[in-house]
Amino acid sequence: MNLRKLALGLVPMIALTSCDESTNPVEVTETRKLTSYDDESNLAVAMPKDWRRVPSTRFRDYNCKFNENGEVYISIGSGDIKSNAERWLKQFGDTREVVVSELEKLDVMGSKAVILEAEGTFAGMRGVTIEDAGLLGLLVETRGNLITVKMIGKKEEVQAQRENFISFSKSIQWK
Amino acid sequence: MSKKPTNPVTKIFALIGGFQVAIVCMVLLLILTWLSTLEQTGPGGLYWTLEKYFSFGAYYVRPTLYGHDLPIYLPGGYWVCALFTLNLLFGGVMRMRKGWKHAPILVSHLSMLMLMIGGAMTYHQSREAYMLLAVGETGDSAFSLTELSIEIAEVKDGQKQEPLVISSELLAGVRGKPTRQREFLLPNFPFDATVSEYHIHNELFPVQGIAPEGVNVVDGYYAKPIEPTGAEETNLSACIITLKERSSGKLHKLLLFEGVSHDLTVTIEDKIYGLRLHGEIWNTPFRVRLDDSRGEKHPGTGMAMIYESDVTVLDENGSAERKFKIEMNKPLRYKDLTFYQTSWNDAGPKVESGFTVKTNPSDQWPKYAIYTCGVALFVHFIIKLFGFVSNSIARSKNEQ
Repeated sequence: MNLRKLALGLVPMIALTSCDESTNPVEVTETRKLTSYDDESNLAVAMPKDWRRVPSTRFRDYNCKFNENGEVYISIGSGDIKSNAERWLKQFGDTREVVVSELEKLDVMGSKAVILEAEGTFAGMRGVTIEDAGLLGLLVETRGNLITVKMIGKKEEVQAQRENFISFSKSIQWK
Repeated sequence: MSKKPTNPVTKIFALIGGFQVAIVCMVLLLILTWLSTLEQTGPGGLYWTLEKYFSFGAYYVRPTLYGHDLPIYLPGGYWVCALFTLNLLFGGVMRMRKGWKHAPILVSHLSMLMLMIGGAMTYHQSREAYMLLAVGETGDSAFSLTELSIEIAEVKDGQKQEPLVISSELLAGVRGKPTRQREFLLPNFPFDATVSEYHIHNELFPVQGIAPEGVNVVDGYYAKPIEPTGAEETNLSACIITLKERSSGKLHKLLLFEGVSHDLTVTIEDKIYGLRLHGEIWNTPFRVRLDDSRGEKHPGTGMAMIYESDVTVLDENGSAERKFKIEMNKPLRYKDLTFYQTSWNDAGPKVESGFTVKTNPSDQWPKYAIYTCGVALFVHFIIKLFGFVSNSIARSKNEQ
């Protein structure tokens, strides 16, 4: 008898409590303090407001986009400036030898960085081809690493971002 | 024999506090525990099996045994425990016969009641997160491996500001339910946010050439949902967050992926905002420095066999407060926090210790409850034994 009553009592109890988790609009004001967990990279960078940061990848330690498809990213790698600069130019079908001393210089991370520019049809790593493309690149050797900043996009868009590119590159610091 | 209650309220108390209910609850808990133990070894894993069987939202359970759904439904473990707690309160404490002879039984029931309430407090009040430290490093926060939040922070001159937290609790209604969405009103920012397409486990791909059909490409990336693994901490969630500017109604869509270890950004009204989906971050009230870490691995495997760590608790100024040695089954208990070492790794350039950091107001309740119950039952058995022996002696004297 008691068990039957119990079973009958459980039904409305389950029905009453079986409303679903809410998806109604809700106001959020909760914050938390910054911690060491928020220091996510060994580089400190000030990104221009026109750009947006997108997911990093294996070879892109700090990956950004501008306009619709323009890309600019920092890579921390190895190798020398000359061979990397020549590899970049090859992506524009340009096979000439790079004379590093003749490239434009910029003080970045306490070292002399070089700036590389190219225009034409870009054939990238992922089978991506961009007609009328522009390259604005920066290469600097520091603390045994080769730091590169590479901007790829439509020629006019890259030219328009030159000032942002220079200020971005100058802002890079080791933490 | 006790007289039957006539008042309806008393009847309900009598029913809930009845012996039959106690038996049914205990049998159900036994069955639920047995079935969930079997099920957690399957693809569901421990986290999801506990959610399925014992969470607040699990009103009923359809058990799965060896990959097959059983043709039965059982009440959820949380609600069986709740009923059992009421049963203990009404039947084992309130309706129980009073008197010094029954005191040990009353105490044992009270201690079981304490155990059940402690379990409920653990479920609702405890928090668990993970802190990973290399030797020499100092930690001031821990992060959850299973409860994810979305954080939004303004970035000023490359410096992240204090983030706003959309907690896992607020995201629970859309998590793993990709057809649902939820709007979050953010009065501290010039925009509001809507979270949608929240899948539990995903792979993130950059678009190479033409994107596969049916995927939602955001800024050159798309997330491909895959079957969640049983180990919840290895799943990588992804969701779409759409920010709507309040002044203009302009929309900004971002694809957040748990596997991305930095903020994604968007510029709204000339300010940069960083957004990220990751384990809830918990600021610890003190800092912990890992001074040394020692361990051994099972031969031929990467699994740690034994480990221990020397740590120093630091105050806000970085001065040493206390030194501790954390060993397996010997956690550090300090200022309402418990640090259990749960991993050890010497594969990298520096030895690392992983700590599960837990706060639980009823941390020691089960121990106290079991001790109290044990002592009470021991006293009860002694009283009964004494009574039995006394009666036996008296009976044998009478027979003589």
